[in-house]
Amino acid sequence: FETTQCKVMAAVCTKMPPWWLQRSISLKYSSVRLASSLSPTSDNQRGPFRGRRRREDNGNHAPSRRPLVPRSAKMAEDQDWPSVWPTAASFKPSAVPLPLRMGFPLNRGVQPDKHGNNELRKIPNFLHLTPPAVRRHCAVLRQFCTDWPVALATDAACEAHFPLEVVTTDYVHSGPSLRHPDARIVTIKVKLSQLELDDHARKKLIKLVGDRYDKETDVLTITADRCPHRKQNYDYTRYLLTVLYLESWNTEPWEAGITPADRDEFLFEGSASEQNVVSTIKAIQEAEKGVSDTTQEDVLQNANVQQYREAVVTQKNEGESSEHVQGYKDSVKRLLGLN
Amino acid sequence: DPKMAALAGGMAVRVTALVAGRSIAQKVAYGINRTVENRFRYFLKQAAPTTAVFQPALRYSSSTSKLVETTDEPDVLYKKLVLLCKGHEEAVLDSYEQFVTMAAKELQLNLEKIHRPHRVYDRITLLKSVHIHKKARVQYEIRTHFRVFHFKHLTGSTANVFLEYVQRNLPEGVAMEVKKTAVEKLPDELKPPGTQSESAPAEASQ
Repeated sequence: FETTQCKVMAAVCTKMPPWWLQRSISLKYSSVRLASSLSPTSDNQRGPFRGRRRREDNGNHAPSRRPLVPRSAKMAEDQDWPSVWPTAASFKPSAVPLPLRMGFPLNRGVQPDKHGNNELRKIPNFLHLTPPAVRRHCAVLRQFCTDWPVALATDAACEAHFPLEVVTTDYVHSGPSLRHPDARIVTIKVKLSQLELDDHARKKLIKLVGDRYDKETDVLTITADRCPHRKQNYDYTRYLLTVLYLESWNTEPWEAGITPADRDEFLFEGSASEQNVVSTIKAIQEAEKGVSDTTQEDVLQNANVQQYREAVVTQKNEGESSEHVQGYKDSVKRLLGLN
Repeated sequence: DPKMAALAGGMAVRVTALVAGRSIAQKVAYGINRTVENRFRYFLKQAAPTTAVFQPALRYSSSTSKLVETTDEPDVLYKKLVLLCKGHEEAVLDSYEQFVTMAAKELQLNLEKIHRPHRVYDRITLLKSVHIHKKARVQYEIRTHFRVFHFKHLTGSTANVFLEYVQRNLPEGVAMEVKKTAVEKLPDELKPPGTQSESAPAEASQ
């Protein structure tokens, strides 16, 4: 490059460059001029005719069209922009009075300007949603809005008055169909503490629903997606809730035949432990007096036996820990009179 | 001729006064030389008097409006409204976030939180050639960026209005999922069977 530069300088100084240099000098000069120009009109860095000579280079012909004055030249600073750009429209460089540039600077040049810039046309613009425009839209839309009831300001108040939560999802997407298949899914959430349930009903309901009940939050979640329409799924969830509730209050005849293994909690009454205690006390009395004349009820009413019962129940229901085992040991000692 | 010169000068002055309020383009058309301060201005300081200001076509009074219909049907209550916006361009989502925030502020909605989950680039590697050439592959990726808007305490009417406005102005290449949590009263049938006289025998017989 340096040698050619010297040659160009030499050619400028002398009268005429050699024939093999003439064409290369003219081309190099035109490319240099193009790269350094910052004219508002589009440069020839991109497009199918990039690097080619421009029509205006030929000074003999008049330009084919008079240069048009862009609309942005006639705009004032305090104009009403929402009148210029009322709706979403693709980017028009002549109508946007901003010196925007977008794109990668090729050949160590600058970012391409807004004229003929495909990237600026491709990207969605928000020129129709400027703050004054949004303010005007919302001023009109405000009349259709209603206020949230003041009495339901807290979550607790919402739960107290409206215990049922219905969760639905809507989808806005582009695709071959307007309908989204997951829009039919309906989920219902309710806290069991909000329902009137007695002990048996609560246990039966929890057994019936299984995984749908969360113990930590006390929330029952029922999801329905078996029907094609959202309203159908919603009706089905409400039907399920009603049926579960009423069935949990019902006691079937076969529920009486529950075995101790099936029970959620250990029940002392009617258990082997109870029988053992009674037989042990009677055996002690027989050994001491010869005849045991105390009835089972009187045995069970005994304070020591009650304490033993408490110890056994806590140990079975709450698990074994050092305190529980100690309590059991103390109650057994007291029962047998060993302390 | 001094008289002619004075006349010409006077006429020139009157012409300049006539085009004083015109734009640069019109001044060029009239052939008046631009002053130094206007030469480098991108656009004029004051608006031309002929610019029309856009006003919405509807004129309404706040209390009564022909467009607003009130019914006795109770309004749905949304405890929570969650908008998940997915897009391929983060800049577009940023602008949309600004727009949604503006609209929520203007309509006095309770926008609790805007949370931006991490973007997901889904990449696949495919064989470039139809047959053999296993070492030559091409890789594509689909970029997804997210924005989640959490609203609290909206009535059904407000939610419908806001969602329609925000969804109509959803830009190209952005999808939205709206998760609504409505609060309702329990069904009337949910009372212990003893208190319901007519339904108890029906249920017990089953």
